[in-house]
Amino acid sequence: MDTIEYSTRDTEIISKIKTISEEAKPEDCYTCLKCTNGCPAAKLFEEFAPHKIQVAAHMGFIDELINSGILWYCFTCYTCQTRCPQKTSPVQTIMSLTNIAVSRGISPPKIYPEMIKTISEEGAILKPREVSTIDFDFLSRDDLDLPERGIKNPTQFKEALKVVGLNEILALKESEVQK
Amino acid sequence: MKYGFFIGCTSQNDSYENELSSREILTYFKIDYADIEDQNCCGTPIKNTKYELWAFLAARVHALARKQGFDAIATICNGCDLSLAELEYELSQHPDLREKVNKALAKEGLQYDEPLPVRNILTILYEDIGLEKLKKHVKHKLKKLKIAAHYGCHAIRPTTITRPDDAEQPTKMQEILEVLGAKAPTYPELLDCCGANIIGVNPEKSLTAAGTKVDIIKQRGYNGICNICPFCQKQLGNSQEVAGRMIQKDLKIPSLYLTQYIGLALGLDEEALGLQMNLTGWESILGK
Repeated sequence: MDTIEYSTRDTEIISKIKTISEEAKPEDCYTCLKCTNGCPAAKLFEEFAPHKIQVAAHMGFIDELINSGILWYCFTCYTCQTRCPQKTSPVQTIMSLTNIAVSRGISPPKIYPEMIKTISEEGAILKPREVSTIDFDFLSRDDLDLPERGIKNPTQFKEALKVVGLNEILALKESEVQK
Repeated sequence: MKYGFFIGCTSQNDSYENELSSREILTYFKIDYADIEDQNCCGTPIKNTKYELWAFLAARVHALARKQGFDAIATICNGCDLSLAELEYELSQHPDLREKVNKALAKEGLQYDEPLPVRNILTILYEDIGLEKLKKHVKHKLKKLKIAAHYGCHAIRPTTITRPDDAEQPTKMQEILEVLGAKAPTYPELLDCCGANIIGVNPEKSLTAAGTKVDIIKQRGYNGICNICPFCQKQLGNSQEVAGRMIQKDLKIPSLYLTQYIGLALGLDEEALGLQMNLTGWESILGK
């Protein structure tokens, strides 16, 4: 990022973040770098720096951030929030921004719509698998005498999910597949 | 106190050894529990995508548990534990979200008013059962073992929500392991994240984080890893071979759930603890 186009500035972003997280508080960050120094994602991704995300959100320059996909690298370990001397929370800013990105129609990494689709069908992010033992036998819940699982009335459950935005996410998935 | 047992996606769909060994230990110590019927994902994995969806999923678990007459919710995954524990904190700040969640719940004839206490397996082991009782039941001391504890981020952070242990200096898992006869000294990388959260986004980096932690644990002379969370256990346990390839190291070291270590020390049946599904091996722990 060499130059910033000033017209892209979103002066409302702090209040938009507040509607999702009260704790994010990018406006209180004084860039001491304690967050970035303790961040496991910063060690693995050169371009990932929580304090820079706080500053970008504070200044209202988030377009590049939410389009870059970098926010999805957050480990959500909460180290940044725990150690922030100003009691801000970069992790909550990141979570708010990914939510904002999705609400603007920007597709998240495909694992997310996939998980949500499976939740809507199975109630869980995965379907039950047969797992390998150390001797290469494959075992299911049944083999292990574990009780049955799953949503009792999937149709009703799906209706409930629609109230909280299921279809918006599933529509995103379709647009990604069409690409 | 009657616990509603919340299994969570990972344990109920592929980390069966976590569910098996947890049930085994809870039953052994006569903890009063039964499964929360009709349970769903806690919402954590998709919280960063659709916040409202997360809140609904977490609230649905609370609503079901309350309707089914439980006094508290028992969790066996740190992600589920945090999700269910932080729900009320979030809803109390966002009344409109609470309203929307209840509108969705009404489609299934459910309602969320207030949360039930949420207790992680670590809390149940440490507080409900307790070190004294655990010690009394140990039949085979886990001697000669130096176990690296791994609490998992969501069991200790954030500090704004009541967590099972301290954010910077957790000790409960290590205290339990010591009662079993093992050594569980702390180490500088104790709090390092397993990297599970980005396994679906960037598996190479995710497993590099996991592999780096396992490698340093080996270098420090530990001969076992202990987890309480199925995501962490996948990263530091069953994924060792792939994680090793990421950092070009041989990472083989037994990695077990805390409930499995306890079960072995109590002399419980190995298959009942799901040990056949621990791909890292575990026999060396008993000197076999």
